[in-house]
Amino acid sequence: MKANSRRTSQSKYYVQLTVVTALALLVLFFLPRVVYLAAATVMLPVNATKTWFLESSASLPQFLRDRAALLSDLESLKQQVAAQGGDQFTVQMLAKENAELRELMGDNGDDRILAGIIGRPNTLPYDMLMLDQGSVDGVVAGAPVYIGKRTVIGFVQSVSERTSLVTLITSPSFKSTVYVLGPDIYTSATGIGGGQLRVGVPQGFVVKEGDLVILPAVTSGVYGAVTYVEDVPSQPEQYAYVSPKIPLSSLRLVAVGVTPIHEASFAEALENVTTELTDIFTVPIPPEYRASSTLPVATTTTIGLPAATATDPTGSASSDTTG
Amino acid sequence: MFVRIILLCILTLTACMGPAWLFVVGAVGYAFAWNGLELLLLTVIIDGYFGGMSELPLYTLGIAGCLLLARLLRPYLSIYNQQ
Repeated sequence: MKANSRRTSQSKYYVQLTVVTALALLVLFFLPRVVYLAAATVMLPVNATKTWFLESSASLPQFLRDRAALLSDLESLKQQVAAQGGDQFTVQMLAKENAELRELMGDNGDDRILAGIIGRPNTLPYDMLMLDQGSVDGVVAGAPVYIGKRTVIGFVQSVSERTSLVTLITSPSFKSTVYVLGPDIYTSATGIGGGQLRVGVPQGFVVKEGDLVILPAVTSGVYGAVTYVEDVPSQPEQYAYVSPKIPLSSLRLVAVGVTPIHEASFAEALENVTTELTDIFTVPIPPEYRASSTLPVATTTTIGLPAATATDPTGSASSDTTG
Repeated sequence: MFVRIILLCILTLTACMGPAWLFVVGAVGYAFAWNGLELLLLTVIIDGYFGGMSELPLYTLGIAGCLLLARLLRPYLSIYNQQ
């Protein structure tokens, strides 16, 4: 009797587990928006509290953010300022921070929204970022997310009232098209997580560490440089691993575009690559360093651009002559 | 019962705020201790909010597998058979 009772209880549990799992999967696949809204409602107080603790200048969060360490840092910074001629050092630091913020906000007239990072891949369940700006701040789904002046690292996947989630191009299985300087080819890249892109380069093309990688689908600038090349001669492809110029773990602020990314044609991608190749050698000269006001703001060195070669995912190559 | 509720609240907080590894460890322990189906609700929240770009709801499938495994191993784990 007792054995039968235990067996019945086991069967009942398995049935319950199967039914609940099936319901959960059905809801996730067929009603994702409903689940997202419900989850966002649950997350709202948690995210609001988290943002308050991490970013608020109120007394309690500051105290909880290790007041002693902050005071110690403040003292050492004061000593540095006193030792190096306080005013000049402060001006230099402020100018540097100002330039950094200007770069993030884009100096080419694009509107951007500055956002702080309150969640990173090592704390969030999936390989993504959580930002402290949401729909009330003007963030829209599909908008690009920048680090530096023009480097896109991902796009806004979903937006709630006060926060937004960013899918990184290095998220596992995320596919993108890249242009690799060096072999000068268009090819596909796959995210592998941890801020790393894996770029497939057909055998026969020489790719080496330090080669720069551009994302031509958006005006994104140089994404990063190849840090490691995996080359097995018996394989049809060699793999180059790319990290962004700025490590994701050291990011504090990002800039979010105000309009969603639109699908780019190859012509637009080609134009983005050409622009980036010329801009690589352009340095904006501050007014105080210019010899004469008649000099242009930036000097450009034009080098004969090599022919760009496009490869499709099957590895066949076609050539396209530029410039 | 009280411990179970407290642990469920802690798991909910780690599911929302992270770190993800702490949630996974806690959820596996909770699954083996109580075989609670309420874990599936937590993982649906995680996959619904964070897993928009993922092809599969990894956390929901993972915890369902964990609950099944915990139930199957129950007769063989000494902790369940102590008098």
